[in-house]
Amino acid sequence: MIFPFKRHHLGFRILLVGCCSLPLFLLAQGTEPPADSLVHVAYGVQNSDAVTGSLSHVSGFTLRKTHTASLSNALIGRLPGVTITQNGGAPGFDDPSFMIRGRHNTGNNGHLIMLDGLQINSLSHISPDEIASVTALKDAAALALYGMKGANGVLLVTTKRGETSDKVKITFNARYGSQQATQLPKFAGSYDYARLYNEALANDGFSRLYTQTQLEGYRAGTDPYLYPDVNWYEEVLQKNAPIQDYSLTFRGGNETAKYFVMLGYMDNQGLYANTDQKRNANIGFQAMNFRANVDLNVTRNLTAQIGLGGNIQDRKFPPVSTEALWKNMATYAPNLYPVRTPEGTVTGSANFPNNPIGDVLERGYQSRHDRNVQANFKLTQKLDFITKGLDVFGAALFDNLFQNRYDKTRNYAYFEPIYTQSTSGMDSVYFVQRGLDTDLTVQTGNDYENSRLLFQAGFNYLQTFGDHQYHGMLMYQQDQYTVLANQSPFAMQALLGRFNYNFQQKYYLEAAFSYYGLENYPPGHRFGFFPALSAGWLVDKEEFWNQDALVDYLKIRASAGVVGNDKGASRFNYNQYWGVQNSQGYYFGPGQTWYNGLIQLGIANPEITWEKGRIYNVGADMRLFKNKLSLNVDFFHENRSNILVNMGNVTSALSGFTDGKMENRGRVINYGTEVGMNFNGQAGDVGYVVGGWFSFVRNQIKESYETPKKEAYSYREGRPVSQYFGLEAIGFFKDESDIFSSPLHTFSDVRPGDLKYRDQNGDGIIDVNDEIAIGRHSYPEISFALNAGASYKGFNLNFFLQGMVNRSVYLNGYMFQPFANDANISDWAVNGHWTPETHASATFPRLTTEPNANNYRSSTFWVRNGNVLRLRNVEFGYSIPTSLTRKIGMEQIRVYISGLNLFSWDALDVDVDPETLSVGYPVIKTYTAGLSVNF
Amino acid sequence: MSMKKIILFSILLCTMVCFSCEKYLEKPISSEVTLEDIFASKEKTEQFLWNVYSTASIYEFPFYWAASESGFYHYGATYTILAAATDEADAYANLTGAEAFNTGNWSASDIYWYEFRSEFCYKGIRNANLFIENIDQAPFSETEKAAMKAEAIFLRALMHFDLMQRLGGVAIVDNVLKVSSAEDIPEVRIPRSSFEETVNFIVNSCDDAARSLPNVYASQYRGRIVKGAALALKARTLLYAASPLFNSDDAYRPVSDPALRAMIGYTNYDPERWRIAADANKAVLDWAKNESGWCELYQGKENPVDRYEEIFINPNVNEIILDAGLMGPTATNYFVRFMTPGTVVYTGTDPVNIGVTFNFTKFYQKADGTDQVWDEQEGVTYPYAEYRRKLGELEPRFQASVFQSGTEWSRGTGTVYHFYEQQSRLLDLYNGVGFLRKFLKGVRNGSSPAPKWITFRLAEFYLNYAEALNEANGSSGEIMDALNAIRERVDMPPYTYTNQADMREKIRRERAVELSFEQHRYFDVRRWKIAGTDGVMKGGMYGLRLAGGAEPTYKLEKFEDRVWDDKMYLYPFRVSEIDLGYIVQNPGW
Repeated sequence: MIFPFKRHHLGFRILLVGCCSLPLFLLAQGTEPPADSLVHVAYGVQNSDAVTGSLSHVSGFTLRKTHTASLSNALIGRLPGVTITQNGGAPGFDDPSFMIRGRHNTGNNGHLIMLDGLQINSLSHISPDEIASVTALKDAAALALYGMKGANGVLLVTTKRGETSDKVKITFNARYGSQQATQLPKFAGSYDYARLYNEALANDGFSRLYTQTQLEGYRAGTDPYLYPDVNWYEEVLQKNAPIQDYSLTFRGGNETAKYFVMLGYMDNQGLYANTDQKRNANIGFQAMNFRANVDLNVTRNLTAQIGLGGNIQDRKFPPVSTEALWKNMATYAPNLYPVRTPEGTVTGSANFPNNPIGDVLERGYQSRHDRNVQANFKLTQKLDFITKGLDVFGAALFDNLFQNRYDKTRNYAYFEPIYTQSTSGMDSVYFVQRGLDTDLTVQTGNDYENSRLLFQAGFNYLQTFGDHQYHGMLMYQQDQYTVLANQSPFAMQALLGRFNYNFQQKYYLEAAFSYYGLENYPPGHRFGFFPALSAGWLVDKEEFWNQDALVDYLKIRASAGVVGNDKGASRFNYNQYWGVQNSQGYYFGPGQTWYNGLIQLGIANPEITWEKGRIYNVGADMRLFKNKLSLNVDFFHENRSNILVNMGNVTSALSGFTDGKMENRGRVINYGTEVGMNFNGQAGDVGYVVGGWFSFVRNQIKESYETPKKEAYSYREGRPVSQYFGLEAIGFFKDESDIFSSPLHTFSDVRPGDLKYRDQNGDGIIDVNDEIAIGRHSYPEISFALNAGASYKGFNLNFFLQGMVNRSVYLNGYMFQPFANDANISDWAVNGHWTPETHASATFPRLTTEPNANNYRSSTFWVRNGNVLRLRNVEFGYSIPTSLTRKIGMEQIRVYISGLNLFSWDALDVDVDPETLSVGYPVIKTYTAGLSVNF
Repeated sequence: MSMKKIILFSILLCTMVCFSCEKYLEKPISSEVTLEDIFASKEKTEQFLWNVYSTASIYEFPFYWAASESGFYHYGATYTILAAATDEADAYANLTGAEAFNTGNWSASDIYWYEFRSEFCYKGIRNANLFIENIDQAPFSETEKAAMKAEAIFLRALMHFDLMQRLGGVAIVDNVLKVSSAEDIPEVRIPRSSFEETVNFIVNSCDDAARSLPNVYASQYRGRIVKGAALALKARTLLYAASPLFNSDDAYRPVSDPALRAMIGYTNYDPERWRIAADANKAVLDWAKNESGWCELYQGKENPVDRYEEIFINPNVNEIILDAGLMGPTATNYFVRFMTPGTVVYTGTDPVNIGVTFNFTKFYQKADGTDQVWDEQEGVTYPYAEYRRKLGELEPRFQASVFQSGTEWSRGTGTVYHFYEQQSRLLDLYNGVGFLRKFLKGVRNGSSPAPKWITFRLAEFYLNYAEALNEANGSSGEIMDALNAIRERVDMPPYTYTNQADMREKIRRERAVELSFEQHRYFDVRRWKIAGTDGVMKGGMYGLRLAGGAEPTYKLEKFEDRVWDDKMYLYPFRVSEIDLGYIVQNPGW
């Protein structure tokens, strides 16, 4: 999974886009197939020995082990140097966040995704079964060909192709899984809620809201209408949600033609219970994928490659924002209203009309439908008649995505409970209707479409003269990307080249470059030149190397170069535009006629350009103990300059620019290391594997043109990107005299039990100038993964753990602010809140019903260590012996069970997910049973 | 050699690439407009000028809050009028910017939130400078171009005046500041000019503009800058400059730095400045009478109450030299929410409720020109009928300006509101003797055309002239003519000349009453240096609290003690600008 280590001196092949083939997977072992010695690099493949840049890759086979609905989640922990943070598992909306080698800039850190030569927006909806490999390109040597789109890293996805075989190889895969939330936050029931609400009111100096009778009613819990006690999670959610996928692949070929065909289907349902998919809908995602790749030898000298792929994605979901629904389930007070009236109609109230049950079950549904087609066609002609080893090629690639929506929604009458006291003094309740029932109404439209058309043409050259081997590639590419309703398409144009030389396949030199142009920059300044130089040395091939040494293989490599990043710039920012905008104009005339004014739109920067990343990388790949242990290590340093920063921060208001002007003046350095290790052993019949990787990245803002600060410690410069800042909490105010003797806290009137802060600058008041760097940032500095597996006869067992270290989380928002807008109170605050009695042991400030500006602000109190370790994957499988399967005409049958996100460990004292903080749809765990059949 | 051929092929490829390079990446033709496009077209040039109007601070009213349009709100106390931060009025809702002023709870780091954002003045100044520097290319006649340029010069001067009256001497920006790269940024940090230089810049701009501005526009362009507006701005600027805050041997607060001293005012007292101010104000009156052909004190309507009220609700009154319609689709709703009482007009649940203070009510005489007897003691209740009678006897301008309990909101409809019995309309939630009525007749949610807000009307210049001439020891006859013109217009008996000090008080009182709630007094009490006097910007503010029941009553009640510090005579510069290090902060901040 880390590097192709196996020395396997194939002769060079003509290097074509995606022309390599992988050997048949050794499914019976349930382990990774041996890595091919050909590695995917930018616009081509290379022999692994020749690779002088830094890259990591993972095969589709490995990705299959993690049963997730989207491929991007399956990549978590699989690519050294690539950090992926989960954003919750909502079906169809579960894209995680990526970082390749950490944060490179203060702006847009997004990376590039390439699928068979086409830039795509997301790799979530590609099936692992159509994928040969995903490669992360990380250093300048690997990225130079991507010019000003490459500097944040590239994920290169390559699909499978056909191979020569005697008969058609058919594979059928099926998986069925059951999903659950990894954890749900815990909140108070009605009795605790009401009791503590009274306490909070008393703390604020108000009289209590709940009477003793009511408290008793909540405690007894006998009357669900008069004294409701609702746990919305229990009402809305089902325990298990199914996920299933199936794929069928055909692969084969002969000397004339080779093919690979895949058909896939996936269905992923969400956690909402009691939906019927007609009048309402669970959140759900269905996808169909297909891929057909054909390689033809048209003549002896002319080959053609044809690729077709695509998918159909259908999403269905309740007509409520997922985040709002989960927020309501978390925050709606347990005694707000019963779920339904005694007659079974849905409740609600004027202030809280969005009864979660009503939102999910009564309002109809929305749906989104994506249709995505990709096609590529490539011709390669050998030009041996000119000079041996020379090819010319031309290719056209096409990608189209169309999305529309179909919503069927309605409003419903909801009933608000009115609590009163009868004449006898008894509490009673009746329900008042609000709103009206309407019929389901269909809405369609909001079409979205994008398409990309790309042409490539160029030469390949490969020739060996004795000890000298030359390999060159020079290519022209143009790419146009059109988004429906955009005035101007996105366009790029580039001349790319890569030239390799090696001496005795021992000393490798590579020069790569791109001369890359984008439409978004001013005329005359649209093109940039991005060179990279790299070299590799296979030390073990030297005479002096002892062939019996521990080390079987040792390659040392180094690279340096410049890559760019165009992300973050607004479109055509070099031109200052003026436009008419609604409501900006003037009245003239006796009847006050409106005259539109031409107003200045976004402030232009006529000199706008791309970010420039100067990247250095050194690394080594080695294998020891008869190739059983493989190790590789990389060190890198990047100096990213020309980062867009808002000059409004340092420009005086006199300029008249009240909006920020973005200029390429920021600078960030980013450095780190990646270490990978893998050990394959055999003890008797037991084969085992232990491996892992570790990466460390750290960055520092060097120049950012931030607003002048009063205190030196307030500057972001010199800190990592997105460093948390806040006050240093030094405990809770004990009593009034403590408040009196402390510096003045200026955010709001403080009371005993409120947070007390340190006066960093000693000016006698606590204000924003006392904010210091606290904790770290939400992304980790250290990412790592561990795997361990064993196989015995047909059985195999694998564990895969993934973790993140040196990150912080900031506990902010509704989950942590009880009674704000009457929100429910978490168990964390119930158990730990400050009272005069518990002041010594309290772990949470005094309760309050007010928006407490003193407590609810960034401080060390709310910033926590965000380290997390997850048992990402466990798999247990069994392959039925071939002797048996052949009897029923099958080559191989393998069955397995696996689990995803089964356990996680974190340092939080609160019951929230360390990655999502339990905001929105939860992170899920999945239990899966699967079957693989080869014919 | 084969290598040669490769090179040949490569060259061919490169040629192909470069041939199509720029064309392929060229931006397609689109509807986007550049500065060159604007000044090549008459229509777009005019639209650009309307943008200068739109970003200039013509309107003294805060009318827009949506964050996306924050470019609009540089004026007036947040959520209310500036009058609520003086002894004129009080805003009942405590979320207003006036509340911050009244509690003294504002500073260099949040002033921009409570009132006035100087950066938006400079946005307007930039637009004006862009116009001034480019108008010569536009396809208009030379006369048209000169007149349009004069409009922009006036607007640029007006924005400098807005800065000056709050901040003293400010940075003068008379060209488009180039910020094409970070190297330019230090050059954009222009230091403050002295107060004198700032005044001179405004005055010279007005002279410059007045030479080319027309006296009148075609009807559809009513509201554009006329020559009289330039004269008016000059006249008001010079009056302010001659006033005690700026024209004094002693600064309002001791200052040791002589450069700063020159920024916050003239460094000496010079009576000649009053003479210059008097002449400038006389020029406005002369322009109206002899040159404009239309501008005069409004004399229509039989009833003096209707006559006075008409000036503020009829934008076609010939007294108005410059005004502006309130902007934006929701502006009228904001206007209604901020200005009208309770939910009589406003339909939401959170009106601001501007009450007219008892302190200010005492400035109004009875209709016969004598003072009302106000002998109420705190804590004593008096019959409601007395409240009705005493207020009812006050002069026409009070009746037009203040909605009292027991009267109609919409005069003539017969619907009478007794505030103490109007809890459902939130009419019991106010401080003072009643609600603001001036400006509001006929205003309703979404009313069209949008309400207007007056910048200059002729009456001000009679009062300016009287004040300046009195200070300059000018002709008593002319002083009285100017002052009595204002009184007689609302059927108030004329004054006769007594002495300079007495006339000063009478002129100031008349000014307070005539220009009430028009955001004059906020600046007048500063330039007169009386803001710190008890009952003006500081100390007890009083109202008459009504109580219902079988026999309704009222009592005198202090609703607020206001806070003042002499450093507040001038605003602080915003801290984000001070931190950039190019501006000297005003004393005390």
